[in-house]
Amino acid sequence: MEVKPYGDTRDDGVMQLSFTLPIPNSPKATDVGKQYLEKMGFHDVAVAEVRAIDPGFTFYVAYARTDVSIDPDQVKGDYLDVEEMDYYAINTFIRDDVGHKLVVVGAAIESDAHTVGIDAILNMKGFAGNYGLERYPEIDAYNLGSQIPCEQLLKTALEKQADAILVSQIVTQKNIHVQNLTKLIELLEAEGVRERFIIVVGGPRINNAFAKELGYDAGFGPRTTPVQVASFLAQEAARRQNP
Amino acid sequence: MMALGTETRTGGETGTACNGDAGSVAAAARSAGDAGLFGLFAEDPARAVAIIGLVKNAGKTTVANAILTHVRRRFGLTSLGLDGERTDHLTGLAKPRIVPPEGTLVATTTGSLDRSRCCMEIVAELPFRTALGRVVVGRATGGSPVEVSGPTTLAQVRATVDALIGLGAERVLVDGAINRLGSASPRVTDGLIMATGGMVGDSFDEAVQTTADTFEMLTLPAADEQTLRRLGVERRGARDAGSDLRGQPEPGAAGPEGGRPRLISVDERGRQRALDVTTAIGEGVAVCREIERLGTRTLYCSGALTQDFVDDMVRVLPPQRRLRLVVRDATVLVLPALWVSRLRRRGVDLRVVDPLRVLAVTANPFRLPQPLNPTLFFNAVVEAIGDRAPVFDVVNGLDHRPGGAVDARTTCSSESLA
Repeated sequence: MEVKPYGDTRDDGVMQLSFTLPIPNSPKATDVGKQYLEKMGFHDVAVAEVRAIDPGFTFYVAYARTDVSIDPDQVKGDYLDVEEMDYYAINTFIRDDVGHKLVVVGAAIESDAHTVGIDAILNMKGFAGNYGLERYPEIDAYNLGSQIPCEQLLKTALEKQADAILVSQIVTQKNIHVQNLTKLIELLEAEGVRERFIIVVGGPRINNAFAKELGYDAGFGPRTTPVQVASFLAQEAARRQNP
Repeated sequence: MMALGTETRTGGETGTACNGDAGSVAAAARSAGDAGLFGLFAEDPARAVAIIGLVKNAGKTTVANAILTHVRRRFGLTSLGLDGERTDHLTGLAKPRIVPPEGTLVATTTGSLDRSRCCMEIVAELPFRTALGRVVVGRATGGSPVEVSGPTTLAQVRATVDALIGLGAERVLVDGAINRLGSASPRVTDGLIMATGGMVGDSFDEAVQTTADTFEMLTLPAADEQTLRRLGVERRGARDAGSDLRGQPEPGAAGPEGGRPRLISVDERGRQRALDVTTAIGEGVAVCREIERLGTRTLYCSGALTQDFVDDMVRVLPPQRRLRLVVRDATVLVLPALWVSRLRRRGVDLRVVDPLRVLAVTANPFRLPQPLNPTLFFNAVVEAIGDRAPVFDVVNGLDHRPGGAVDARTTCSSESLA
């Protein structure tokens, strides 16, 4: 079903817009803003606020109507097929459906010195009101920190008999994260142990489709919370246990 | 003319021609293909061929497209990565679309089919899940672009290749992922096409040098029969004994349930000893001390050979220590290709159990922000590869086969030469 923005009534198409144009706030500035929105295809434009934010810049707040609509069912993405559970449900699920504690090893690999991503997911205090994986009684989480060579991450995962490996890549200059991430997968494949682990990658420039391209089982982008990762790990571990 | 499914890619505001326009690609590909890459491909006995790239944007998918269009075989197609999507996640550049000819069996994921809004007759569902959903095999109807993503692990790719052949594919193409080499392993495919391009190095010379080094690494010589007998290691041959890739533990796999030893030493009298380590990774110094103690002449490493391990060898072993180092195949070398020549300079003779078959090298002059001159780059790659493999540029119609002269045809458009 097609939908349009909701202003006062359903599908009236009214939107609030705010923007800045690099022109002085003169008597004709209001018309410049109005005609600009009309050029974009809006009609019934009402400019509610025009302010100079600098001698050469004008800021606008306007209301305008659009005829453009969208069918949400036609929007296709690369979303991970996972049912998001809460902290308690995840622990119960692991106990009942996986049957053993999930061992998770995580690190920011190679040259990346940023722990913000891996800490948000693993540290006990967690992120965005979610506990991190260390807090889960049914998860044994090992946070190796940052600048961990792929070789060391692999060794630790084998020693701990990990079920899952979590990799974080924050630094993406010259696409260094791509090389780091494919190196880990090539290493695991060469050692013949790729299939033993659920391998998940997260970072500001990661999405699920890109994770697939890199050879990972799932990818998590910005604003991912620990429950999303834990839900996936628990369900994927159960799926592998009972194919 | 649009049959090839490629489109002009522009590099943002620079308007750089990335892949040539579809018309010129098709024309040039036909001329190069008369007896070149496509003839070679059609006649080669390899049933499953991996197209691997040394870097993202090396032109893997363009080569796959050209082969699909010009070789009259019933193809199976899958990808270790993700191909045929509209725009590249990383660079934002438009990517070449994949329009498989009618009847092509395409192994992709349900997520990719959904995203590309592609309708295919689904003929099989494979038991693999990926980040983009289940892996299914569809029969292409021809004329509609499809996003090809395929399974995630090499074991699954191998099983997918088998499934495609089982469903009637005469040839299977495995498109690669970014810079990964794994799909070229003889345990997965029978041969490979190495795609290199201007993006491989920061400069023209670096791109050519890295191409030469990687080619050298991929074509490492096979260990002789006597060496293998002494090590107690058997060649797998092409794809007929890949049981270790079917989810069972690798012989000698690191970890508690490992079977055969990871490292095997043979001294000058031919005495075989297994080294007491579960993995070579991170154990370079310990392994070097042990092989010094044992007087090892030949060392077999069944897992990955890493840069750290080579660094340790170069540091710890005495200069000009004669050693033959044998690995499973060239895809287990997880190191910059340059490290292979470091080992050689140190007197280490690096060999493989299962050599790779490089069917061809393809050169793509695309580079950001400015493409390389196609003819100059092509000739430089030809010079670097020599007569060891045929070299092609499917976009600009350049073609060099061992023993032949460079065939620099002039069918390419002015845009793609810009």
